[in-house]
Amino acid sequence: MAGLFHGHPTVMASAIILLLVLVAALFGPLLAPYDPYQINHLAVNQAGSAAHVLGTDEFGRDILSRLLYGIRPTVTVAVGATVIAAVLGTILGIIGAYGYGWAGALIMRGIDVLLAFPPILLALLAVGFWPSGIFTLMVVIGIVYVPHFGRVAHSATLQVIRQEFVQAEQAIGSRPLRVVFTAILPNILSPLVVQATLTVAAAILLESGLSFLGLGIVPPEPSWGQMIGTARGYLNLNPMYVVWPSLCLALTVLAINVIGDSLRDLLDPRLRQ
Amino acid sequence: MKELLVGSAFFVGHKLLTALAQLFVVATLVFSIMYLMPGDPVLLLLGAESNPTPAAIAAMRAKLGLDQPVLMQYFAWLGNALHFDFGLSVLNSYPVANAIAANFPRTLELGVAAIIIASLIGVPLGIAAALHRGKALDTILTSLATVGISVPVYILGAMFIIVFSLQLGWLPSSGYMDIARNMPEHFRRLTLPAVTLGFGLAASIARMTRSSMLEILNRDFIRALRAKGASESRVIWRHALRNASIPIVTIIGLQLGNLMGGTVLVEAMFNWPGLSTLLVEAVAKRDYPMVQGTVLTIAALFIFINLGVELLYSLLDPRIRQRRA
Amino acid sequence: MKRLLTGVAVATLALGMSMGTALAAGTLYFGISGEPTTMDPMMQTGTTFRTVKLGIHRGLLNYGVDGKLSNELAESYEISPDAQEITFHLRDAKFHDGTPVTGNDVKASLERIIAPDSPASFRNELSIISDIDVVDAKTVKLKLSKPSVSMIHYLALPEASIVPASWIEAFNADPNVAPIGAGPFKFVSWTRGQEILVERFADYYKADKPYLDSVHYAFYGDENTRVNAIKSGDVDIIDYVPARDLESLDADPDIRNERTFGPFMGLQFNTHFEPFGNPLVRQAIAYAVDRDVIINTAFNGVGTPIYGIAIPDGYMGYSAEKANVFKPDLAKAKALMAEAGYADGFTARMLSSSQYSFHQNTAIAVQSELAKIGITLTLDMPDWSSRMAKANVGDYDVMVMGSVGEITDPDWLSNYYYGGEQLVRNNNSAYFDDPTMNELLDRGRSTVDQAEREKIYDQVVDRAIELSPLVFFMWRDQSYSVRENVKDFTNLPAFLSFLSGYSVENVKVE
Repeated sequence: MAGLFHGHPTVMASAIILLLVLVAALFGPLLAPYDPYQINHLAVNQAGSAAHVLGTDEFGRDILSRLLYGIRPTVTVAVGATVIAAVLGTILGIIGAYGYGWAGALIMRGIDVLLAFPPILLALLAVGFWPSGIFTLMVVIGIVYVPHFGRVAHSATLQVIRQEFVQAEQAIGSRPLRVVFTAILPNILSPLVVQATLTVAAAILLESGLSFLGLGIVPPEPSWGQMIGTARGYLNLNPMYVVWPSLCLALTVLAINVIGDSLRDLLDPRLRQ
Repeated sequence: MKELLVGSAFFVGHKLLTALAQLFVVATLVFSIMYLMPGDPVLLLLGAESNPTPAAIAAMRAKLGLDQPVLMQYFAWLGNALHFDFGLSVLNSYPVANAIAANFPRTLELGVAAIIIASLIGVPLGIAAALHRGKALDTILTSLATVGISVPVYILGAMFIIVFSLQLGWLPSSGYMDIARNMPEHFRRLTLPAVTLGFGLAASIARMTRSSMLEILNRDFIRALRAKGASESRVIWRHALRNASIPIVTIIGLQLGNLMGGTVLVEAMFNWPGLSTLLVEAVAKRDYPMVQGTVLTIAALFIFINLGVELLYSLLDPRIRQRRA
Repeated sequence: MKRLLTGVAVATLALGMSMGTALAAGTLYFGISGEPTTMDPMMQTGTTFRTVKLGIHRGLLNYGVDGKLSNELAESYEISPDAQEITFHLRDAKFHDGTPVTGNDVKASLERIIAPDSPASFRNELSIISDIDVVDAKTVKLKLSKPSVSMIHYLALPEASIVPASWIEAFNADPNVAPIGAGPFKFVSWTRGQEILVERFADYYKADKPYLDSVHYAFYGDENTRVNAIKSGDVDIIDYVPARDLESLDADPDIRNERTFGPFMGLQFNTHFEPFGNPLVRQAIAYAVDRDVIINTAFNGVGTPIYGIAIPDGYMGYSAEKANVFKPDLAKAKALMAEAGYADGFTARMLSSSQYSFHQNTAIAVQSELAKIGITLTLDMPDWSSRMAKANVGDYDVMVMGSVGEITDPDWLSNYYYGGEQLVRNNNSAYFDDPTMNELLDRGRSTVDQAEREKIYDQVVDRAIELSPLVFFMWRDQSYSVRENVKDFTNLPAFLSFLSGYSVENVKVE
């Protein structure tokens, strides 16, 4: 693990950023100087000041506080979606790899189709189904990324299945489920973890993209993507309004990508052995 | 030779069939999603602000064929779709195919411009990074590339608007100008959205170019060329770049999904009246035929461009060529 | 020599022609906030479409630029003393296809609207027309089943435009057929997703008008893009100017804002939802909400509070004394809540829409305000189509209302306060049905004597305040931004702002 950080300042910085995000997600409400829902109609669209470090939005609400609170729905959706995608995708991928002949091939074909499609288009269609909110977003985004996990799990499982110790387990007649849990899962964990980091980043981007289009987190609940979308109308009056959430979002996603890249570098060679 | 042709035919045929199967699955999926969605376009059509009676609503629904059993509607729609008749928009009774035909070129133009810009920026920067590997320039460019693929497209757009539109006043921040009405202005309007869309792609291309250039520059035949005394520029431009072009084409193929997804946000941000705009509006207004037609078009585009890239790739890749020879 | 003379002649001719074009008033680009869904004039499917309608169509009457009724296709008319008969004398006018406007066309157009299964937007209001008698080609007599002083106003709406009888048949066969009207401009083309193009109708019945050669009604659904379009000169006029951009547009030396306060914002209630069925609760809400909070946040400080019923000054029923009944009084609001038995407050669902930022932001501001008296609102803000669907079936407890009176005659109140056959509609409070109010409104509609009418509507206002089935918050600014080189565009006053497309017949571009 130390090898991950040593001599790589960017990775170090990224880890720190993510730590901050995590802290904010957990302790946001305690850290926020104001109630993010507190409307102050006499102080709308103000630039940064002593009272409001990052300024106020169109309702006179403190932007810093809204940023801190806005992490939660974003992180919740991203992590929740990744978990859903990981669980479902892995199950499907393993089943697909295990064969059952054409059924497996059919599942993989189906996954291929979904993989082909730009996620935002899939999500666009699906959010119309249910009332908007965190749960809907989690489920929709999770389903969108199932194919990605499926692919990774499938190819990783295929590799592992051929290996001797798995063949051995099957030869002695262990129940398939046992084989999966003891032999397969531990050995496909690495690429799945890498995929998970990528998915978290992608989920954050997708949720904020949907919120930007007005289809995601419902106001007045703050979310970074939604703040950016709203701020677009106030570029003339208060340009920094769009800058702060943009900066937070960009830095977070950047940090996750950097860590993900390093993880991949670290974990992949081990797998090749 | 005959085997080669038959083999190729099988190869292409198999890919084509797969593509068609995928399209069919997408079509069915799209059809079923729209019919399960809540909300009703009929009220919008009648102008709910003026209190339509239940009788009027039922009459309109019958007129649009929305009261037929779902399966019948499905097969009718599928049959029509096969000869590019996507029905009439529920909102304004205008043929969906016409609306798509009108908007599609604008998205295409945006996409092509983005790819051109991305290539023009990405390739030279990737080469520069490869040639100055390990030095400051390389670090800067690589970092920039990482930023480029991480920052969401609409944030980039917002930043560009603030800098180039509001502060510097160089470029307009939104709006589409018909090319017939004012050609220079049309391209001026295209600039910011195309650059925004192409930025992420440029970053990917730069990264890919850099790594494939590095890999090739180390290969034996390049060393041999250098030993023979070939000039450095000849080495780079003629040989290394030509060999690096394959991965670049691949990258564009791979990033196509991102590009298309990106158009949804870029078109919204800059109000570029393309296919994605049509889709977002149609979803919001529950215009079933329009959503189906648009998604099917986008999916078809996607599937067949991917197919093209795959075939192109198999054509270009010398390893595959060698195997056949 | 001959060649020289010819050359000079040609040059002079060319010069003369080009000068002629310079004197003609040119082309106007009008940026409207959406794309119409149909070319059928009797359907009111969005206020933005009315702008286009009023370029192409005229009715027996229309509202003129002074906000008063103007005789258009009807040169004159008489209303019988019992207000149950109106006789129209048509002027000499032509449709865009060259055919004259006759009594038969009037009959066909109106019958189409009042037919029992007609989806016409104002079928309800016009349905009291019981008989249309075409006395001769230029005379039409309307008989009403009940006396109505207001009918003449409903006939001035763009949805009552007169179209050729032959066009109606063509339209029924093919809804994409080009619209034909008797207005100043004739339809040329509709480029989906872009614009509707119309050109000057040379035989318009107002001899010297219109001045423009052509008008492009360009669609700009996104408000930011619309504002940018007029700043960059892509368009010459835009409608629905967002409040937050008014200042920067004003500051621009090439642009002016034509402003009026027309629509109002408020709340509609589902009276079947327990607390909202109680007038005391509704009054409490009227006292509780600080209008300034809504105005400053959702409308960037642009707007005028309403502390009574949304009747514009100068309209019948307006009263200065009753205009300040609901001045914010938190103590009184809490007392009323307690009196109604809700001292501890309650929870309710508020319907709005995320598609219009001012709508959504009003909801957010109201949510915050009503928390002060213990009402916890959960917001339901789907896209506009879903919002309308829910409104039409009463799927809400309380709903943000952003609306406008359709006519300047006080009977506009009927749409909002009358019970009638359809108790769940778009502009009333669901299931509100007060016999006293119904009776007052019926009488008001049919009373001919002005003084008598005023007394009746005074009582209507009293009853409206007492029961408060609707709570009004503010007048909304309704502006058009116009480039300085565009002359004589008028933003019709108050309720009529959405009918300003009528004034395009006066417009000149320099």
